[in-house]
Amino acid sequence: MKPLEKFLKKQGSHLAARAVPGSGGQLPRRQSVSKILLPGFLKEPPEDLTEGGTETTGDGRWLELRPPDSALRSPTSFSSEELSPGGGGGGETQLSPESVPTCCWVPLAEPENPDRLVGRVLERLGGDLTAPHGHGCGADILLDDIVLTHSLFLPTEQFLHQLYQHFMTASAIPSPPCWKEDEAVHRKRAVLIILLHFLETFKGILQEEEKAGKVIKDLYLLIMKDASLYHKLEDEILKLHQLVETVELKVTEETHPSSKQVKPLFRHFRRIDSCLQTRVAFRGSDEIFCRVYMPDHSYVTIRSRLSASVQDILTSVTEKLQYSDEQPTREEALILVAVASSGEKSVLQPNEECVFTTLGINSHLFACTKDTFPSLVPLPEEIQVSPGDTEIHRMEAEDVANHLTAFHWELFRCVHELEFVDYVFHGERGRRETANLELLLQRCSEVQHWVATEVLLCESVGKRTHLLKKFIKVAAVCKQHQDMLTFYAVVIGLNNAPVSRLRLTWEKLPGKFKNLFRKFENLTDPCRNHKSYREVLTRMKPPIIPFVPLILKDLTFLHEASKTLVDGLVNVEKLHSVAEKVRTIRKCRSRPLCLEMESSPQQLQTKAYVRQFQVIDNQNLLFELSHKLESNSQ
Amino acid sequence: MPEQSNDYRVVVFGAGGVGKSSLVLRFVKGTFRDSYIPTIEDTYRQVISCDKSICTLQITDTTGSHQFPAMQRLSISKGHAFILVYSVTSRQSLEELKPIYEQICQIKGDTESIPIMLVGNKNDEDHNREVQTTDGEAMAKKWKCAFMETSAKMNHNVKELFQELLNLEKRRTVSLQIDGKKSKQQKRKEKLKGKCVVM
Ligand SMILES: Nc1nc2c(ncn2[C@@H]2O[C@H](COP(=O)(O)OP(=O)(O)O)[C@@H](O)[C@H]2O)c(=O)[nH]1
Ligand SMILES: [Mg+2]
Repeated sequence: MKPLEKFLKKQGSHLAARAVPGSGGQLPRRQSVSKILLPGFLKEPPEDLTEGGTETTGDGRWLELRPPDSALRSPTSFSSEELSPGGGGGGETQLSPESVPTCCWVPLAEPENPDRLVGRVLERLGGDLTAPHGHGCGADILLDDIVLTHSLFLPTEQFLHQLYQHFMTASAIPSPPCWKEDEAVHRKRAVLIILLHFLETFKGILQEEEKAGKVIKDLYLLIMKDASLYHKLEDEILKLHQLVETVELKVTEETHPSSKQVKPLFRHFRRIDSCLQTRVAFRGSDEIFCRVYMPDHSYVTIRSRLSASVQDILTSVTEKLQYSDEQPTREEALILVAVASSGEKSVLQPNEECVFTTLGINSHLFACTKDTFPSLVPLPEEIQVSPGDTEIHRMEAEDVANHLTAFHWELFRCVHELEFVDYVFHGERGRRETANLELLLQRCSEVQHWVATEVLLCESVGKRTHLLKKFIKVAAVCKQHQDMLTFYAVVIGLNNAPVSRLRLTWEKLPGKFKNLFRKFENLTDPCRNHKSYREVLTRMKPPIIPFVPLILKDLTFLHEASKTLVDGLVNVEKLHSVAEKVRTIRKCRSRPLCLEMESSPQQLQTKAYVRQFQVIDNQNLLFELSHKLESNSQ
Repeated sequence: MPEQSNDYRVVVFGAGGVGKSSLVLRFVKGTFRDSYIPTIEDTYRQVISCDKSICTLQITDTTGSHQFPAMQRLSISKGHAFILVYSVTSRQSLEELKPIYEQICQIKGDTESIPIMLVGNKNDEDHNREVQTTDGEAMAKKWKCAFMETSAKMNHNVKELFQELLNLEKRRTVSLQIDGKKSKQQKRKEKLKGKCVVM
């Protein structure tokens, strides 16, 4: 009856499975961030693939994704696992058929190995200067595919290096005898086009790519020196200048910016005013403050780069604690542990990076020795709660919903397109930060717990029913705003077992609300690969805040359904499917979200409330509260 | 929250570089070092006795800058006792304590029942002295609080500082000594010792 409840329950086992360190050199992604949503979610295979498949017949590409006679794969290259219903990238419903002009996409004629693929793309792009956009039909999409997904088979800096090499070759004098007249210019132009598109796409995150930045700089200088280009490709060159400026590439030899402002990441260090400001994206080079606790709950606050490795963090802590120059003997080495409010502990590996945003909502970092590890317990404020009415009782559902959507739109906008790719495919080719995506997922889980926390802290049945009504209204308004992320989170929160088991509270709900909630449950029902939700989404026009965990699930299936390299050749079809998914995200954000909201003191209060929830994320504690409220339900 | 109310919370304030962290770390860990690492906010916990039972002494070492006004207000409202540190080598650092003292008065109201210790640190650096002992005493008189000069570097008056502060607490008997009975003697002894050095 309550599918999401079922789905929530399933996670336990997946969590356990995930807690086991991954095999090989690849670091296991810790489970805590996405605790509630992702693990169970991502692992659950789409229940009915063919169903999903038939829906997309208008758009045959999706079905072509895994034909056994695909030019790129021999039937034998499929593992039995991949052929099982869970595999395959099918079941996709395009967000919108017009997101990409389907007529145009033609895969490369021949499969290529990673080192030669870029060359092939260049040929395609430079091949036809008379075409409407200056290059071949469909080449736009191919270009976008490659820029978005090259990191699946080639590290970004190598990708750029190849561009550099191609430009060098084209600059050689004399040109190879087999080249036609103008061939060199065509090739240079193709390099420029890729570079421009690359810069445009990577805008905002390039500062973090030190090595890539260096190659870009070299390539940029090379292009600048090439006077032959000026009279033919003025527009492109001009655009390149502008882009290089806007991406803040340090073209001149210069070291890191001296003192960046510290950004508030953790609750303790958030100033009252800063939570009301519009969120800006976090970058790995950002400085943050973080408390690191000792087994006795003493703590030191360290200042650290967001991307710092666990080793870096431990060094700062040790420096603070062993506050003595005369202590030559090293004390026993410290380890860094994330302790959740449930008491669950996970040891972080010294070479792990960017850990701050992967912590669960009420998890804290602890530094301890191997000996003291068993004695670690959660902070008292995470395990003690005092029931009572909170601010939400005084707020209008519509205001709360408006502020939720506005905030989640900000968070969603902070996530760079490539974070989606990197989140799913990371570990294979280096690690790029996915902090903003992690924060969005964390928030999604926070909203779920917020719903449960508020309901379970409320001691009177009447008021509790009133709260249920309020949350159902919040979900309804968010759905109206096309904020499916908040919508889902609230519904999942209400469906969380400690809340859904409150029979007396639910019984008092007016029929109208019961029906509405039932509809919401159906909409979020994961059956037939989230058919209901996908259908609703298809009908929406941007701006949309999609239910991001589902996008990650889809990407994961794309990833697991087929290999990136088949017999050493790049699976271009796979790249294309991944890029298509990313483009659906692009489309969701292609129009700005405008919500009309006053800025009265009351509204500001609601805004502040919505932006800094205090939630209980410990399922046992929630159950405890629930049983205290209604012991003999069920 | 039962566990929390059992804590006895001491907060250390003062301008950056006067030696707040050095005092706290000398007391908690017995160490000292010459290099300077700016503090953001650290809290150390120690078991002490309170009304003959065991409780936790929680010492919060703060930043010198006014980066987090909200955090400062929170630690004042949650604090039971306060240490206001200046460096005897800087008159400016004594001046900078005024707004903090005023804020404590404002948040706490009746400060006379609240243990506050004005501390002139770095008294080993006599050659660089800008603030005379009498100036410190005068300020303490004005603020109706206790006063001491210390040196974290020489480990001079550090333990005494904390014991004295706890002695000022009249609402309960808090002591660094875990054994309640011994502590009274100890207290008196340390009080004397502290006074001797100051004079
Ligand atoms: N000579 C002397 N130097 C001290 C003393 N206490 C601290 N310092 C030095 O003063 C500097 C600042 O100390 P610190 O404790 O970090 O100051 P805080 O900013 O108030 O926490 C450091 O270089 C310490 O070595 C002291 O009692 N005497
Ligand atoms: Mg300090």
